[in-house]
Amino acid sequence: MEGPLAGVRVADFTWAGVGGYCGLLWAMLGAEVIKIETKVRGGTQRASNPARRVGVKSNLAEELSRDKKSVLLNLKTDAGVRLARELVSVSDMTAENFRPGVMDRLGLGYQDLLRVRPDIVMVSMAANGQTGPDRAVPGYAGIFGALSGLSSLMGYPGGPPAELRLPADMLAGTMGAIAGVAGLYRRRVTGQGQYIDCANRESLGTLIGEYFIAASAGRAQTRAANQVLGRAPYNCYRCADDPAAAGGSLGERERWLAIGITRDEQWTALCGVLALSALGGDPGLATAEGRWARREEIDAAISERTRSDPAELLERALQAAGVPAGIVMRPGDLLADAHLAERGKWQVLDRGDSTPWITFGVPMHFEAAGEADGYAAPPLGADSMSVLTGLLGYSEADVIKLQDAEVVA
Amino acid sequence: MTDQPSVLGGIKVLEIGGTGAVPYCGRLLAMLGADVVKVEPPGGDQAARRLPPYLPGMPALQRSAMFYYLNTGKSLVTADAATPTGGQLVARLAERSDVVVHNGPQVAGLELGPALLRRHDWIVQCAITPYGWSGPKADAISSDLVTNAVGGDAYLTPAGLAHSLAPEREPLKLAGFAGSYAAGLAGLLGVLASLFRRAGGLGGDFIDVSEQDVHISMSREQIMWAANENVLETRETRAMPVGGCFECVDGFIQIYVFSDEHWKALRATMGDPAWAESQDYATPLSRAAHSAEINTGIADWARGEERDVVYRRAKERGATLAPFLSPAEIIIDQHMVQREYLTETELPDGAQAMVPGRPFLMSQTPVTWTPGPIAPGASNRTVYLDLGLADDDIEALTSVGVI
Repeated sequence: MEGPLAGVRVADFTWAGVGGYCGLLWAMLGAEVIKIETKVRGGTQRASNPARRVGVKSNLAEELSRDKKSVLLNLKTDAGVRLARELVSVSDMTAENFRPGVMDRLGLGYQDLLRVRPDIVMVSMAANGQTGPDRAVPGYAGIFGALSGLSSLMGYPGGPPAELRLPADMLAGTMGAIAGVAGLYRRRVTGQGQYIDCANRESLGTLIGEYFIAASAGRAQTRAANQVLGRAPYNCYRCADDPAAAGGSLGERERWLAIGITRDEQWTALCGVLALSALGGDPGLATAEGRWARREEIDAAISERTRSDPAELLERALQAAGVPAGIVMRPGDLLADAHLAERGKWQVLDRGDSTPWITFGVPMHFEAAGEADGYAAPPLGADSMSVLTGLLGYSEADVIKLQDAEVVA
Repeated sequence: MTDQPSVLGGIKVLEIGGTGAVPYCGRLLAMLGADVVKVEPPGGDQAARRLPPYLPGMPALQRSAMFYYLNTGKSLVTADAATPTGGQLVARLAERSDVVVHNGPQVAGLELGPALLRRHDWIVQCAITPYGWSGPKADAISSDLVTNAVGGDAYLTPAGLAHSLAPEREPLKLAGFAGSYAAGLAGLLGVLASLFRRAGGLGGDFIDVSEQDVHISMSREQIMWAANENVLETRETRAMPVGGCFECVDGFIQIYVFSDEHWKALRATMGDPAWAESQDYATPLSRAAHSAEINTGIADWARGEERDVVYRRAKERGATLAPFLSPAEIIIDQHMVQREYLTETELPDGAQAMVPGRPFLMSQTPVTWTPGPIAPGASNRTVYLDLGLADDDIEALTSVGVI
């Protein structure tokens, strides 16, 4: 199986979470993604923040570089930039997520690339987009999450907003991947490439579009934790602590169960499973309106019941009774989950160091096209020689000369 | 702008079921120029049409801003898919479509999933379901909150200030229905990739999108740590060593300090206070070792500052700092106004509202939508006439409650 994007080649200049995930999705869908990496300030763009989680060895950039090829070029040299342009000239699509203007200064802006590949599809994913007064504002997930409006709606009532982290990167990267494939489809139909300005901040904003509409109609919303107006019970409830984590931190011990009722009959079923007979028999709680008005009382009653039971037991009993309930899963719970295992979602990659590397696979399945086979991230520049000789027609001697001149590594 | 050819001009989409992920996928397909027909039960989807937030002064089944956001611009038809006649109508609509997006509903006489692909191998079909099309939990019931929970991200939300002020409180989902829309994005990516493949001379496909998988895929870092290093991330450990959310006089700001450049720019934004010049704070690792005192220093400074003044100064100094803006603030934000991110639109009752128009800008093809009526069955006549039914047929089907 090779995936729906088999045959597509991408010259990928992206970095960090947004760009890394965007390229990873293309690669998982079968595109040949050639990461053009460069040395910056003594390190490389793959280097992670050493203080992110002190003591942890693995690196998100490595995880996001899986299924890709790596060519290491010195883009501070004319020869390096020429090679980058040559790679674009043999590619269908290119992507970057620097601040606006960086690619132009490197000589790799859209106008430069059009000259070598008139039908290129180019996706730029700056935090604030390519135009507008704040286009130069740099952004990580928390920054463009704060500017998007999404964070402002997350958090406990009366408390601070919840800062967004990786999901924001991944969501913005997914939008970039969508934009690129939309461009590829259009090109396949008409032969015409195009330039796409995909601002991370705007990608996230489309996920809460209804709140913009409501705010403009005078119905601005505030942070409401897990509440959805008109739904109750609709929350996470603390269950019995994890016995395996006795003596550990709160985060290690706590177990939670999400219960999100959407229909009246689920309420009856819930009351049956949790033996909440007084509430279950209360005619005032038979409708969504009635439950919404007394949601705090309901939350308290459910919490009291769940606090002493294992989350797994409760989830199984509630699901069997047709109640939308699911454990607030920790990474370890996911790794041990029978459903995910049966769906074949885990991949074990060979990183060449005899330690199996466990990772999550492709977040979708194509019945006919399949997905690309995954492989571990190549070391930096591991594909420089094969790409330059195989794709660009350089001889090995040429490449060695370029390596000696520190244009290629 | 609408005169330009669109990305998906000529592509017919049929959308069936779902309240969040499926309609969001359909909305973006419509914005890319596809002709999207959405099937609802007769009288309209009671659940989807009651989802908040609400618009003032609108009839009950048209007051959901969410339903309006997701579904205006589509052709809305009704059909009782559980009846043989209604199921047949849906099947005929499916057969003339290039794309079918659904959440696995029961349609009489039409088997969705791989079976539909076997019968019509040119159709690109995408099922977006809570746990996916296969596996022991394939039929388990779910809702948006539960998806956020079983996808692994709620356990890690919120981090930073929101958590440290209320460490005993419950894990949180993404705002609104963003957790469901995320799965809609995955579906859209799959559909576009499959249309691309089909345009290359290959056939259609069946795309199985599990909302749980979509969320897990976004928590790759924490899963990588758990699987390969036996390191558990919690809401507590997820706080950034230095930086995060800080309170100002009149709002909140987010600050990132990864590199030495970030730190230098933040110090300049704070007016280069003496405490921040300590050599103990000179490198990322030393800052991490002293993160509590640094964050206290930043918090003390921020508490006396106005949010927008700080943001302006940060922009001049190149600091990675930004305000938390609400939708109401973004509507009038000069940057977003200049980018024409929001479009002024007339709601069905004649009131004006601002709607986020497009998720990205394409240089050759518009990404936009045309507002349309959202009453249940608003396009019944147009669509069913086009399907070959006569006015009499439509009237008869309406009178027996099939459409």
